[in-house]
Amino acid sequence: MLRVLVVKELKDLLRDRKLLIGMILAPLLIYVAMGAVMSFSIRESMRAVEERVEKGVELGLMDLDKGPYSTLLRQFLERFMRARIVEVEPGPPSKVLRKLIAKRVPALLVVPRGFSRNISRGLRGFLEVYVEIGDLSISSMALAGVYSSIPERFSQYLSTIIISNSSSVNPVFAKDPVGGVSKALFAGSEVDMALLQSMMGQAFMLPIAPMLVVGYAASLAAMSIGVEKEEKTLEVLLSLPIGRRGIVLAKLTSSLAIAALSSVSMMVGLAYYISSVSTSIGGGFGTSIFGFVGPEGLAMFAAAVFLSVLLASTLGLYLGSFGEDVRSAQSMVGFVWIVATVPLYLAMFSDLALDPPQRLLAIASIPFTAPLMVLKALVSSRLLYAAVSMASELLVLILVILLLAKRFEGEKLLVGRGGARRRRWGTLLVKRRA
Amino acid sequence: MERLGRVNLAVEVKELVKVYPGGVAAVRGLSFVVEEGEIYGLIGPNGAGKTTTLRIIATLLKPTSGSVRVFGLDVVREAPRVRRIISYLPEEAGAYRNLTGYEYLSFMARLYAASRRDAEEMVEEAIRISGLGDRIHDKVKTYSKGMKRRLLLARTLMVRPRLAILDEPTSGLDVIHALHVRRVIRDYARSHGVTVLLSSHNMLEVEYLCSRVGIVHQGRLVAEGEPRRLIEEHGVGNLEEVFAKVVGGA
Ligand SMILES: Nc1ncnc2c1ncn2[C@@H]1O[C@H](COP(=O)(O)OP(=O)(O)O)[C@@H](O)[C@H]1O
Ligand SMILES: [Mg+2]
Repeated sequence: MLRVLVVKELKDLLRDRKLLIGMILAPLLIYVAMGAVMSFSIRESMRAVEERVEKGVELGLMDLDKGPYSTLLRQFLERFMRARIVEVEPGPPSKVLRKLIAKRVPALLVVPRGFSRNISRGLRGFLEVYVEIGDLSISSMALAGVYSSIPERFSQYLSTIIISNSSSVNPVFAKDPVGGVSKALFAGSEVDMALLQSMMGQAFMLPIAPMLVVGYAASLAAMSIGVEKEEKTLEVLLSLPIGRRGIVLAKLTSSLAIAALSSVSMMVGLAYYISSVSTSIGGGFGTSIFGFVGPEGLAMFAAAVFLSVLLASTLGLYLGSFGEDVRSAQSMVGFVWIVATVPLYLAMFSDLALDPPQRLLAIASIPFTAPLMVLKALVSSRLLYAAVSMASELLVLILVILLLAKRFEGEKLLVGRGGARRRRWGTLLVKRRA
Repeated sequence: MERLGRVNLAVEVKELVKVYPGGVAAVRGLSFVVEEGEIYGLIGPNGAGKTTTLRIIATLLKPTSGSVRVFGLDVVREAPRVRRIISYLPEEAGAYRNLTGYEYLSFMARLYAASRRDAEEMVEEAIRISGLGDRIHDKVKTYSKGMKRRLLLARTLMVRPRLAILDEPTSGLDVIHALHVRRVIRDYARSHGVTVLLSSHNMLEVEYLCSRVGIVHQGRLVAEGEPRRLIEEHGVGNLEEVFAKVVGGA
């Protein structure tokens, strides 16, 4: 019985071209387009960066080691990276970098005391890189990536020397003899490189599609009940020998199926986006951010999107049932949607690493923030916020389902409670939107 | 005998009152019965309370007071059982635009039929009743108003309800469609022994269709009986004149 109803819902809905475009095609195309644009601009700026590297990079060097390996590092930088090196006196690195920036040198390399002694004893040496990030553009991030890759590049160079000179060294050491720490100076303060990259890469671009699909799902569900009233099919539906719960369940199941389709299509787009962006970035710079979102990450994101879309459908069905036709049903949802975007923006601009936990928990518990929170939590590995936002969304979903079941009982759907007054309010909304 | 007689009532409306939440008293103490196998017509002007009454019998609205039974079942307390034996054609009803007429009928048939075969039989019968021919495979959104009404009437009757409730089955249709609809209702009710309760503001069509009529005015029954008998009793030419006489001029 339920299956018959669901098939009818799906047939009626899926034949609607608007729906196919909005729910299935749009999320796919958005990411594919974003991926194409991103990888194009990344490739372009990487080329610009490479050209600059060919001409030689400028670099401050604070040599606290003064040993054979810091001399080798200097030779490596001059010969293989065509670096123009500015020697600086010892001092607090961020202060020194600020002085360098004034002289248009955007980076500082610190060789700590004991660097050479460590390496000659077969212990790993560490380098510190301080880079200025001018803005959040891809090219400035890519240039910063060149500087922060110095330890890795030097390590590879040194590794070949060590391996060819002696055969008795610890292979683990010989393979990667030098490690590095990169700090970025952004807008005057020190920030984690990885966080900056994620701010640029994901927080701004990726939420677009889930927000779009969630909004569309709500208006779609509102439409599915609005159209039953407008086309006058609701009365027959309610007089059929099917329980009211069956009707609600069928509408939700079909929304669910469409939500699943939409999530899958979004995931395909997202996977394409991630792969195209990370292949165009290549090794070194940036792969780490996308490494965070592994298959489990994608699955969790898909679950969050699915939950949000389901909640949006349920809420859309509930709110839409107060309208009298498609237009007024959708305006009920649209009104709520405008209010709901405020917490979404809060979530989008919140920083899981730096904002106070109470505020983050409050934002996470607002419905519809789950996809964003999950994405951010994955990138910064703070999964508590993802769990909280998904749990609260599930709770709200259950509440709305109960409200919806009550709404479909008795005669409320056909009659409405405050008849005349509500009608005027509805047309007011529609007029104001028009 | 007495008990059996009561069970054979298809519809029993007693002292029915319906006040809408906004405060409009649409039905104010309406009582009538429909016997099994007859075609009963509720007639009256727009706003008389016909649709409200039919919606209550179809279990869609709850009475404010009074009681309604369908084949002995209470429409409030036993609504799910009532829904299994009735079939309701609402005033101005529509069908799902993106489905074809055929798909719409099969969807409906499978909600009622016990097996796939039964469902197929129902659909075949419905296609015949509708007289839509090959157009049955076109999408509903391409149908004219008359075609839609014929499709909906076919779906109402194909499920072989014990009671068919038809609200204004011909309103807004041109002569050809209206004639088709009237003929289908009469033939189907006769050949299948289906009880029909219909409403109309067209008092002339019920003379042709109905074995008995009830005239409703402002939520109350003002006259009831066989059309010919009513006309004779009031010494007038047709039901419209009967109405004018009972309501008192106007
Ligand atoms: N949903 C509703 N809310 C408030 N009043 C209504 C509603 N539906 C109908 N009415 C009012 O109830 C009265 C009877 O209407 P109705 O039963 O549709 O009459 P009929 O079908 O005989 O034309 C009318 O005055 C109408 O305005
Ligand atoms: Mg009416």
